[in-house]
Amino acid sequence: MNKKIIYPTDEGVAIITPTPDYLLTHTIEECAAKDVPAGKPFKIIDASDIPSDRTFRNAWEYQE
Amino acid sequence: MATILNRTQTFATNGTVTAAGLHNLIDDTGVYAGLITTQTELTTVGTADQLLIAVGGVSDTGAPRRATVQNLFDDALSVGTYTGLNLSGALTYGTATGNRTVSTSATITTGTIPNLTAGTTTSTAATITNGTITTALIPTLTAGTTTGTAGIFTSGTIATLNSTSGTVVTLNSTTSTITNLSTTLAGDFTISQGTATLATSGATAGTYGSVTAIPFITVDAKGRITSATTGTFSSTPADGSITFAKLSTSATEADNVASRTAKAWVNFNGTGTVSTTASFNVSSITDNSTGNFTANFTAAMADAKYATVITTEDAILGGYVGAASYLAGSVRFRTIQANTSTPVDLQLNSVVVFR
Repeated sequence: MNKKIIYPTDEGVAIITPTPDYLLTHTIEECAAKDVPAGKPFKIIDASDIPSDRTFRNAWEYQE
Repeated sequence: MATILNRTQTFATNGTVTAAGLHNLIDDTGVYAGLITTQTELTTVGTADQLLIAVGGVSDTGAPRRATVQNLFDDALSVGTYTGLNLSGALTYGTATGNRTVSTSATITTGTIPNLTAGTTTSTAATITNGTITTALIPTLTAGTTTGTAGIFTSGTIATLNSTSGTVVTLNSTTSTITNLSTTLAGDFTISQGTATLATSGATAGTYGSVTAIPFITVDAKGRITSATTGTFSSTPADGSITFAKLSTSATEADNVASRTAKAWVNFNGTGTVSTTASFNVSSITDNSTGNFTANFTAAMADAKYATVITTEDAILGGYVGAASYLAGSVRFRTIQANTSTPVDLQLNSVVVFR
């Protein structure tokens, strides 16, 4: 299942999309541990939970 | 005179002539018997003494004649060189009272001495120039002194040289050959019956290596190959055998291969749900906001002093965000519409990093 990582930022929310090459040898948890800024909370969610309409992309928020 | 000499009296050749023998020789003579019997008996006879010898007749021609003792021994053997001389018995040096001396410096050039026993001599050392010593023993072979000539075998043959403690100090030869030399040598080299042999080293004789096999050779401290095998070799590197980490990364190398190779790159779609088309050394793309992304490196750069190439579609520009955008582990950038400088999400985004 296609997964993404989200974490809060000053601008709203950042969404990390692991590359397929990276996932050949690593897990998404390892990706989060490396690419999420230190100290930031994060979540691993299904890609389908991310809106495909980016019209209001900057208005997206991170929910605990 | 019926009898002049006693013919039954004989003398051994080269033997001792005694007074009794002389008496026997002429005792029967009628003319001289009385005269001889009154003579003092001689106990020794020198070569200068003379004998009277008469024939059996009574005529003048039968008168006694004289002959010196020296002439009695005149057997035509004189000093000289004798070739082809074979000695089957003992050769005895003469004494003053008995055996005579033919020569004190006789030379045997090609004769055979069947049984030569060494002794002690005060004379000049004998020289055997071309002879053969078959069974003789030379107990001690001593090199010559400063006043003499060292004993040298110039062209002879030593059939068997047996020695347990002797040493041949110097063997000089330009044409001669030691045909069956056997000796025990310490180490890896032996000589047996004239054949020199090197000890085996452990390697199997053969040819090692080819266009597809490389030789593996083990050499010991003496430079000998003690083991030889081959291993598979291919002129074409196997897939995956050359990785980026194996490229040259020397800081001083002019043709640094790694410096000319992109250390990371990614092609991604920034619209809708962000997706990566292809990548190298990029672990993920962070969608920060509209037209604002971060490429995270799988293996971080050595530092933040790298160069980037960021492109987007047509007239849209990819751009630098700020000083904090260039980090060793990631690079942050924006995609901006050129005519409005407004951030915008685009489908074709490429990031290439060189370091």
